[in-house]
Amino acid sequence: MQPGWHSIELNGTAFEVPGRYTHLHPIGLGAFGQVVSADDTVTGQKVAIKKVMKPFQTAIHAKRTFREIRLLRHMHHENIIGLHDLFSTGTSAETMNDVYIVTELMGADLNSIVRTQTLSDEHVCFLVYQILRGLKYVHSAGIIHRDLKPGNLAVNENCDLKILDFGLARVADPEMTGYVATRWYRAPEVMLSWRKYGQGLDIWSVGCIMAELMSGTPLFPGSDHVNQLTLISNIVGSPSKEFVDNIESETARAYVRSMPHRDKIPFERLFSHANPLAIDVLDKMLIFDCEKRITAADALRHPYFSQLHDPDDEPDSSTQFDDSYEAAELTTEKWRVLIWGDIVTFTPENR
Amino acid sequence: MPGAAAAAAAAAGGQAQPQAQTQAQGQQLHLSHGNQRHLTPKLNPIEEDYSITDVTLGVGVHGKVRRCVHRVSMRSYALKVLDDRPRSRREIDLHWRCCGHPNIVDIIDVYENAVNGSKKLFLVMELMAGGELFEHIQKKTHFTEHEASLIMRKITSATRHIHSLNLAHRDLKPENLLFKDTTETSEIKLTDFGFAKEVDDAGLKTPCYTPYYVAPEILRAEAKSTATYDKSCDMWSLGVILYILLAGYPPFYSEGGQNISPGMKKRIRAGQYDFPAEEWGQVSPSVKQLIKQLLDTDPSKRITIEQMWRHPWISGSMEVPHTPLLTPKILQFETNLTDTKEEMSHALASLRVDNGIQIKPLPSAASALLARRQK
Repeated sequence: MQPGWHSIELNGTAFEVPGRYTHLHPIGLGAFGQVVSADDTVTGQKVAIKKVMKPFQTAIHAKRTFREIRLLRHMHHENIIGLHDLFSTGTSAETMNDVYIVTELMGADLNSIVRTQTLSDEHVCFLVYQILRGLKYVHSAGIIHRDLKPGNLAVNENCDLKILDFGLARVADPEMTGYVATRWYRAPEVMLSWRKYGQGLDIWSVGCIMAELMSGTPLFPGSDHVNQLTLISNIVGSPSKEFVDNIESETARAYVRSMPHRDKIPFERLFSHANPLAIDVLDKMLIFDCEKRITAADALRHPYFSQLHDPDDEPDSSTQFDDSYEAAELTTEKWRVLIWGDIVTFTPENR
Repeated sequence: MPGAAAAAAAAAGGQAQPQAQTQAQGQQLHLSHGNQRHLTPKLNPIEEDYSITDVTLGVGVHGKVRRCVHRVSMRSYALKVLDDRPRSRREIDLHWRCCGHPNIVDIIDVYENAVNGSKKLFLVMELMAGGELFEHIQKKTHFTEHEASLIMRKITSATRHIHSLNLAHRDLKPENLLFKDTTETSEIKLTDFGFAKEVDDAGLKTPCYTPYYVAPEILRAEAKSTATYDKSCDMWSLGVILYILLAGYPPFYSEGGQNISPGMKKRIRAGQYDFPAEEWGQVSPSVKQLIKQLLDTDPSKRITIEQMWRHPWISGSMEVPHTPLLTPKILQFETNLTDTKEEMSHALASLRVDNGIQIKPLPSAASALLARRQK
């Protein structure tokens, strides 16, 4: 062990961390790794430390590890969780066996809040505003989140919100079936691999989340893909003929054509006492055709957010995210060298 | 033999006031249900009374469970060592309150010793030598729907006991359901209260201020209660366990299930994840109905433990057929028991609501962004 580091076993996983991090406590399983909370005694902040699970097991694992690091490194925005520290107990690219990713820690996520607290219209408005403000930045960098859901939105008691876990759900998950909540927020085009994905798929998820914050229950809690598609068209109505004709997959097109026709149920009937402006936002987000959905930047200008909107304080990313590594088919060894390069250059002080 | 074990514990227990537990007197007063005895950690070194072996029985959230042997009786027990923190004390306290039920692992002794300068709690429990639920079933040559219903009745009974004490277990998974021994008639018991939580039904509170939205027609905004929610998570777990018990595979799959067998992939792709006919064709409609009610995606619509307890398939009021199930075969054949367990742990972790926090009403929320907008 390196001098000044200490080691502790949590949940059957050994954590070996620099001495600045104390009071490690398991908080659960994040995407691809065991997560603990800790105090950073240098900055006085609460942080989350994730030990990446099997970071170099295969080239796919290694690329995923690299992707997560690069996406986090790019993020410098008030409403997005950024990278706080990055370290490994290894001493070279060849010998490193573990990767630890340190991020800021918030008190809770929206999943637990929405299960236990009834939110006011003001809360909903400020929370959704912050999601959109973060998304505007992300989309301006050319990044799509792909897996927005209440569990990926960290909040604290002051209603500050930060988006977590960017771009990790890269592969479409045909296995994601049955009673899995992560599917409930997926746009129809993602669920059925209809077409190339665009940023609009994140907006669909925001619409689902917003509706859930308003009502306290998931909007489309499908028990499987088919049932979920039924729930969606029961509320937003059947997709237009023009849209159906454009579905790429022949089987999906045939299936959607075979579904009984449904008229849209106006959201004001579902949320009978809701703020009419909130209803209008939902109407512009929950549209079958992803190209007709409102963008994050336009949504911020919607009258519903007029009390919060400030064009001078809704920053875009200054650079495009460099995802050229995505096309690279490298060996595990090459990914190791790239990751090691990031680890040695990154310190909490130079981020 | 929980009675005997309890008597032994009571006889051995010193009556010194436990440290750092000033509310302990209040906790004695759970007279209507559960454990009425007062738990006092012993302060003498545990090694005086037990020899601790290196045999690992399992890995819990906060460390290994090892086998220990009582020096006088030479009987074996399970030992869990915890850091002496409020959280560990709470785990032991909640587990203790649930003891005295035939389907809950009994606590024999608790020691409070310093090890290398740090305070530890040593939890001595009855030894469950029969293994975890599905490993036990894997070994069977013959397993019927009737047997499944008897096992499920016991698990339901344990959960009902816990819920009746206004507690939720929140970690009901196959690894925490253990058989006493390897015999056919072995008792099954629930353990590990590391995530258990006190839930107060009296707190079925109306929101602290009037919400803007009042009961819409379809999506009802309801008064929220963590109590109901935490208990509903236990019910979801029971639904998953029941499903696996009858089919040998779980009712869901998410990302990363790389070890899924080709047969399973086919079933999932075909969209037959509800109740595939091959395993479910002969199973009683009554229990399929029960599973649906337990796996209802809306926690507030899921059935309660009392409703489940009275369900004909559980209560025994209906004749549960002795239809042979494919479960043991599938559990052997499908190499995905580990995957299934991992999936379930993941799902439970995402279901558990642990934040004590509530978002403040905006006028009193100290948000930097909000402050900039209110200038």
